Amino acid sequence: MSTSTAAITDAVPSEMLTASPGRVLRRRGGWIAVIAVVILAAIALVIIRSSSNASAERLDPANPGPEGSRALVQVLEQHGVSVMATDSLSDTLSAVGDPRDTTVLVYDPHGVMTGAQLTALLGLGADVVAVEPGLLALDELAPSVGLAGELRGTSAAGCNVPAARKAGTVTGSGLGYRADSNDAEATACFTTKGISGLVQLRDDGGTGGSSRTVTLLGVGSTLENGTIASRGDAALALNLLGAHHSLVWYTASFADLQGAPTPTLAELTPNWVTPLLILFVITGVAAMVWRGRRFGPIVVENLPVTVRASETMEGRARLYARANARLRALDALRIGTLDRLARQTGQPRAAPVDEIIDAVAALLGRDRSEIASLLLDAIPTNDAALVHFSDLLLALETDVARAIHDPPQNGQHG
Amino acid sequence: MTVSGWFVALLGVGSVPLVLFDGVPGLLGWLVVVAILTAIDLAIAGSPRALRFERIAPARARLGETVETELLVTNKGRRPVRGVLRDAWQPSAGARPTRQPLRLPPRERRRLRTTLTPVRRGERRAAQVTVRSYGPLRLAARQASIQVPGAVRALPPFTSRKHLPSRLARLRELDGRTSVMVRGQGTEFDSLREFVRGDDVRSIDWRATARRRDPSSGGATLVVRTWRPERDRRVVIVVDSGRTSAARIADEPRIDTSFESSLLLGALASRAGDHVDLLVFDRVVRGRVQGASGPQLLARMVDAMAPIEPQLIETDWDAVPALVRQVTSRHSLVVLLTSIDAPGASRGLLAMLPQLTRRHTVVVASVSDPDVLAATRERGDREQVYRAAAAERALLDAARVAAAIRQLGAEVVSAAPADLPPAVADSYLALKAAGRL
Repeated sequence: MSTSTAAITDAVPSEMLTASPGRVLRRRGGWIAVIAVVILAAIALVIIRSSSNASAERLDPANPGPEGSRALVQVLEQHGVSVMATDSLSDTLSAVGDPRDTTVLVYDPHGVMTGAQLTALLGLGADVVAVEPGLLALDELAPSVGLAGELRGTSAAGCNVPAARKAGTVTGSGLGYRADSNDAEATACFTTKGISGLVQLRDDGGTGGSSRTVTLLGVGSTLENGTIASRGDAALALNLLGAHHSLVWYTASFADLQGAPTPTLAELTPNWVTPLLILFVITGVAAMVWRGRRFGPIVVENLPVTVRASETMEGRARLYARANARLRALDALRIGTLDRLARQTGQPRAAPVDEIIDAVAALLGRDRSEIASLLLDAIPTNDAALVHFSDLLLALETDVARAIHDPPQNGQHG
Repeated sequence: MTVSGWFVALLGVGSVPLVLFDGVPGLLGWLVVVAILTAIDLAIAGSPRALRFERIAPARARLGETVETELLVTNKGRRPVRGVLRDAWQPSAGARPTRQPLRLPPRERRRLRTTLTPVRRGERRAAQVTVRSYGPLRLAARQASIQVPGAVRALPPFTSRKHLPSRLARLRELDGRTSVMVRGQGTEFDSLREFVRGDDVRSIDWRATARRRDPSSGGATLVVRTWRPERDRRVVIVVDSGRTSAARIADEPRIDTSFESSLLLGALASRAGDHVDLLVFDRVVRGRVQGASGPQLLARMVDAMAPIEPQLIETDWDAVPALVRQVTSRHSLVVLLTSIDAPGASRGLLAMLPQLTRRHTVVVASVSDPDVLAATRERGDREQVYRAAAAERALLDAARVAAAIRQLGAEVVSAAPADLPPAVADSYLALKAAGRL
């Protein structure tokens, strides 16, 4: 009966569980297309963003943000000034065509330019507007002018520089300068409490009688998109930078850093290291596929319900313990003991407790009150007493069992 | 599709040409080489989709026994299939081996053997066959899963059949086939024969003796009546497959113990000439065996029991009397295999019992938990004493329910899982001897 007739199943082609590549493509084609489009769009977006010349640098001629200067540059271009942005000294030098008709704006936010570079810039012979030059740059551009700290607020021109006069009052923040009052070449403008927002130096000699100016513009915020519209800022900026037909907007960058080039990590390592790492990554992925590819779907097992039968008993025991129900627990033990004692002493199931106690006392030859106290009256006041009574009940049962199987000799009584 | 360890190793070997040919060209070149080799390998590998399968499996297996199943694999494709085959059965089917090598030239057939050792009762199914077919270079493989249905029904083990011979011997003692005669109410008259020494003097039939007085010799030949137990009685076994039958006692669900008990009782009663009907019931009838006799009975019983699992619902005892009435309207022995734990949980059973006891002889059989009994003796520390108290309380509850059942006129049989089947059989024999069937 254990193995009866063998059943032969399935002689026809069975259902294929694994979809063929073609079916996968047909069924999931939509999703694959969606994912492909998303990836392509992401790549395109990255390329567009990286190729667009918008930046977030302060006073960048291409930055349309509040700190940029694109507004100023566009207005200048509309007025026929050709603006060229450069970020290295060599570019700047080659960008200047006619020094007489060119303004060079130099802005060095990180203080990377050296004295020699500034000298080279001055050597061009064009008008130079230095935006917020630092201490080191001042030494080279205008040794007679000192740095006087931060500048903030509104100030009136109060000088004879045309651009400043036309502007009237400007408001803004930046660096302030203190020009040496003995220096006739230097004109200080927008001075409050002896700190000037703009200092212009006229340089007559030098290169064959042509006069050119070096302007130190401390209030750089006058060039920013966000603040250029307030008071005379725009007038100052446009007159200062639009004096000539071309403007070279030079923002010094790390390309200007001097010093022997230190070899990068890529130059120090052999050419094959990166490809080798890539190969290892590919090999690792292949190993994951090798080990991780499932050999067919998982087979589902309907697990049976498992209930431990003694759980209710354990739960009740924990309840007793938590509630310190000593008397209730002891009574349960007593009922069990009484039941067994009744059976052992040959009494009916429903025998009264007193009769059982009498029978046990007679059988053991012990004091009745002692047994009655154990089986009925005693109240356990602490856990130690409960354990003690429980042990006594067990001992009583064993004593009774021994007395029945092995009755005491008559001699002991007599 | 999948790749092999050789594919990974081949990729790793690429570090040599990569260093030799200095970087990116070496890497790209090697990747192209690996890709070409893999593509060739895949193209040459035989398609698992071209395989056809036939499964030959025995319909039944007893739980704990090992049976062999066969899978015939035919290659209908044009290229040989080399690789690994997985014949996926449910974990509880105990299939060995789970993976087998396969080398199958085109238009040939192979026979693969899988042995099953079911570890759980019920329908054990085969899910699918998965084949991984490697190319000649063993770099990559084509993989496909094909559904090849198959099932083996794991039957209840009937381990309690070891008790059957001793109970059958007791049955024969009742039956008058041995020299020991029994006489009692409810037994039926079998035949008359001459008195032999040792017969019960009360069974002497004086009227028959008077008729048989031999005129030639004049000597009196005493004639006794022989008796045999009643036959053609009905035994209705009702197995409770409800919530409480899921409880596991001594690592065996109550329902399995109930099945063991019903099988032993069924085997015994059918040998004794009684009709046995089986009902497995919670709120609906999960299994029913009616009108089977002889060896057919046990086969049908195990078959009906095999797929039944305990249901997590309360048993609807109110429907049981009607069910029993459907089976038979005659007086019969109704054996209820359930659990009697607490008065609250047994209220439905107690309310229904009078309807059954009015017409039938009723036995309520229940598994008692040896753990609870053992817990009453362990009283080492505080926790154990409380545990012992809870155990005593549980025993008291069960005793109260049992007393209530006895009061309603039914018998109660309660024993540990291993002892319940013979205890139920003994109670049947006792009732039969007493002629209460």
